[in-house]
Amino acid sequence: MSFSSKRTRRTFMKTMAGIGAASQFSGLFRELWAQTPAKPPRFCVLSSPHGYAPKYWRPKALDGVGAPTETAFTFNFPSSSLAPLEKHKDSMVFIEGLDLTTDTQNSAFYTGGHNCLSILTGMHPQGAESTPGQYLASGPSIDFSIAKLLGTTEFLFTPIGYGGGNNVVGAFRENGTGVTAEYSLKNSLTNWFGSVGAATDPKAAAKKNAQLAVVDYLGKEATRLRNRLAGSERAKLDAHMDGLASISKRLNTTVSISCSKPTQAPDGDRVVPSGDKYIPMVLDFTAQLFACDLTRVANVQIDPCNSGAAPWLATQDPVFSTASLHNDIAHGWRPEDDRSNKLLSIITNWYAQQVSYFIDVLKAIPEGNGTVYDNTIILWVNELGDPARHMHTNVPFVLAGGGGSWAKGRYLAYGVGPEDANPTDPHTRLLTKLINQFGAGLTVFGDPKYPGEIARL
Amino acid sequence: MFAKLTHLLAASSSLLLAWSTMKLRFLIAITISTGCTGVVGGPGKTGSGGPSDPTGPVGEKPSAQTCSTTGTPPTTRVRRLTKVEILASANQALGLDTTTSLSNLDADSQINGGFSNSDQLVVSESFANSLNLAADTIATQFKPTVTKTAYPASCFTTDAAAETCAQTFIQSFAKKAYRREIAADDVTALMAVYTAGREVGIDGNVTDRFSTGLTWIVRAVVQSPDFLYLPELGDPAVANGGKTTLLGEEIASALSYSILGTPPDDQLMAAAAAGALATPEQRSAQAARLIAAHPDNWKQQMRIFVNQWLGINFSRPEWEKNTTAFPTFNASLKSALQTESGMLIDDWATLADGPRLDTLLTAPSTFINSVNAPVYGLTATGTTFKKTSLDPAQRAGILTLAGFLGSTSHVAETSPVMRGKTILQKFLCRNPPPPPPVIPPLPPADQSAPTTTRARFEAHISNPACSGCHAAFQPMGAAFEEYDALGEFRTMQNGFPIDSSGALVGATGGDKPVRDAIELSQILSQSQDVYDCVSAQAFRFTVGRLEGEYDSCGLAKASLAFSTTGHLDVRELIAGIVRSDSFVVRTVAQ
Repeated sequence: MSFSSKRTRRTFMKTMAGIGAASQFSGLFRELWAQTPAKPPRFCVLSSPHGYAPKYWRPKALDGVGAPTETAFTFNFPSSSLAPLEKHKDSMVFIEGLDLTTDTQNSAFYTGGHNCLSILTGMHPQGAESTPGQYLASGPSIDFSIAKLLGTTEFLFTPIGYGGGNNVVGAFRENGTGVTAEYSLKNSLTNWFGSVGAATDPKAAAKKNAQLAVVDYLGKEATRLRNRLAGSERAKLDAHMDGLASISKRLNTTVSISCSKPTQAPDGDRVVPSGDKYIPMVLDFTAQLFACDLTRVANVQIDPCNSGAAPWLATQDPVFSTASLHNDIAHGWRPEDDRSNKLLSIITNWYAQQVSYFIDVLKAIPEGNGTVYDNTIILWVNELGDPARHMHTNVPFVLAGGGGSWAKGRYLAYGVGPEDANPTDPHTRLLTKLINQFGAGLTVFGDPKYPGEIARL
Repeated sequence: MFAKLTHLLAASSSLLLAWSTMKLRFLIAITISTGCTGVVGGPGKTGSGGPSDPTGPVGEKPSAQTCSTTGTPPTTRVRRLTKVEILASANQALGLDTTTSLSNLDADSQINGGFSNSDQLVVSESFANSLNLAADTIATQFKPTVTKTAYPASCFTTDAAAETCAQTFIQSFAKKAYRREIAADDVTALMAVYTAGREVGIDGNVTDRFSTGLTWIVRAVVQSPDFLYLPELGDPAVANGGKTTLLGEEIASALSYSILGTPPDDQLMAAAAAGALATPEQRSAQAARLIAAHPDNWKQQMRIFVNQWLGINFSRPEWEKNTTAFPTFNASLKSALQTESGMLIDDWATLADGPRLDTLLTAPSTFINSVNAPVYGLTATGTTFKKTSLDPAQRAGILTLAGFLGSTSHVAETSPVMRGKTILQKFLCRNPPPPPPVIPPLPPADQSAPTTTRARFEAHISNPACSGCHAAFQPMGAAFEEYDALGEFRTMQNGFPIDSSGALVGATGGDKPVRDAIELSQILSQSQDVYDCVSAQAFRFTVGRLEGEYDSCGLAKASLAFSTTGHLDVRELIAGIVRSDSFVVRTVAQ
């Protein structure tokens, strides 16, 4: 492990202050605690939309000018997209040139839209984009699968208060149906931490029994109704019963009483608090879930796939004065147009700040002889390569965390493949490598046309 | 995904429009000069009534005068209540205002900008959890209502006596919440919750144990599938694959929720119990009664319908207008425009001559106060909104008001693509073809050489690969160019005169040129294609699913009545829909 295990509260708070995050959860870390290291690692997906500007995303040689090598590179150069990750790069892997294994010819999906279903499943989409009921992947997403392997309930969150539609789908089940994300931190606080501290309540046992009696009643009613239905109608009740099962599981979760819980959390509605304030809170919350071991798997969509509504970015830099939305900037990107490269890089840089912040927070939570970060795999994804043309080829991926069998501190450039439907460096192999870190022992995760684990990682 | 619409592209030379009209599916190949290969119309819902493209009424359709219902009825199903319906149902069952308690309930999915009251709504894990939390808050609200004046004195004497009271409570409360008669099994099951729940109360305190026990019944009931779903299951004695008619109480709920968004009132439940909802005439008479008896609920339901139909949604990111382009835009103005939009629909829904489609599309008036007046080039004083006539040369109908215009624009500039596509989908019931895999993007506006939005788009789609598909909708969007992204009327943009000439394209009888959005609105209000499409939209909203073969004849009859004897009154359209077999007949699938 290359990380300091001697971080102090002072160090952590200083880090927080340095980042300028006015997090309402900062106080949660008043008491740092140690937990017995757990194996296998945690898994966390962070996602942001709309491709990248390779010119400024790609690292440079240590002189800040020349071409990088696999192990000698820097993000310290003007307009670098990933400069905020420079301080963490030794624990990370930056991957460029993978191709999503997705069916670009599926006319039921917008180009780019199918990538949203492929990115974490490694498979073509099915159904159609136009209705949530038919917004189907062809298999499970890797976060869903890992949560199942680990027997944990995944924390799935879309932070910006999206009220509906496909944007709130974040993960996919084995049958390809979408799992709806939570999007109100206020609700999540009670969902996840509701039972924390209950041990001090003299009526806790009675209350738990009553809660279980309610869930039992609801389950029986759902079963009765389910038995009068068939096909997709029956599936509705199956999904309902999954929800009841998750409530039941949560009620039965025993939580360490040393684990303090967040005391407040805003709803978040895209506007108040704005994303630049809200997302660090969400990341704090996610870290807190890890610290309390309430989940081992998280999937936080910093901005949902194919969304790109990030109005707070308009205040990040003067160049955004006439262009407010990430989506517009992504569509205006041209490889030969330096201004468009810089605009997109500024946005990616903002997302990199969030990733860097999350790493800071995880590094500040002691676990065993190290930190929570040491025993976590973070996968930062976006769904596109060339954002203007919604390309599924040459899509960047970033890995962080001490978990995983691979050597860290590397920049891996795979071939820049042709822009067609046949991946030359299929991303399923990265997913296969990832899930096998959790003992899956799979030959392939995703499209069976592309078996094997990714080379060189 | 909104901006993706700006990047539609065509690849080859013919446009295949696949449309089905009320399940009579056929293909018509239209060759257009510059070409596009794609399928107009999206994939439809695969339902038991058979799949149906949400496509247009153009083409062969059943003769409304002579047709009879064909095909297989849709399968038995359940429809989850929307958030608004859950709130109304909880309020009615409890006699409380649970707005705050339910405010954090997960929002409903809106199907691709479509209707939220759809049978595709589900209880996801997230929804189940958010309702679980809300149930706690509702229970807290409820507990103080369990007083010695509200309940018999015996309820507070012994645990045993209190149990009898709890059973009585279940009979009454669950009946209201479940909108059906309560069986002995229901009571037994909920009493198990009660007996577990009262243990949370203060030991030895019968009063607290009784009231606490009731709160747990409340928790269970408001999360119950019987509360959350509208069943359309029919007669349990009918075997799998057989045809069944919905039970009276199921029809009562279907009527009330589709027309008012609320549980059935006592009169409707009484009619259900008396078997007086079986005939088409009985159902349409009840529909008329419900609308007249509950005008506030009707107005709210029409707000939901019109907003979801036309995609008017102030929560969309399009309504975070760019303050460089619109220096006067702020939260207060947005709120005023939203209020205006809602009041306009409320007013229309209860007009003396009925909520007529043509009125909605052509009336040159809206609601104005001091905040939103400048958007319409007016001045006003005070914060009270007043119905105000607008310059008929600039405004006529809802499509020329800010709610629609701003919802179908980007944050800084208009989107002829978004506006045109909306007309195509919402008034002609067609979807544009999906774009091909590789999309040439719209170049960003050149700040050094400003031009009009229209000119930028026209230059962009002059590429033959683009123009074929764009021709299917963009002429309709171009007609709205007299209105900027905030909905303000304009004659110039960047120093160039606005050209708002366009055309209604894709309707029966060929393209119809229009000089502006006002003329387009007028033509839309006179088009049988539009009447048929609006009928289909109302069907989807009322029934909560896409139409299929089984629905074709009933829908054709409803549309005909709407556009002739019904004088385009939406109440008549809904009456026609609830009269149809589609509303009450199902195929048992279990």
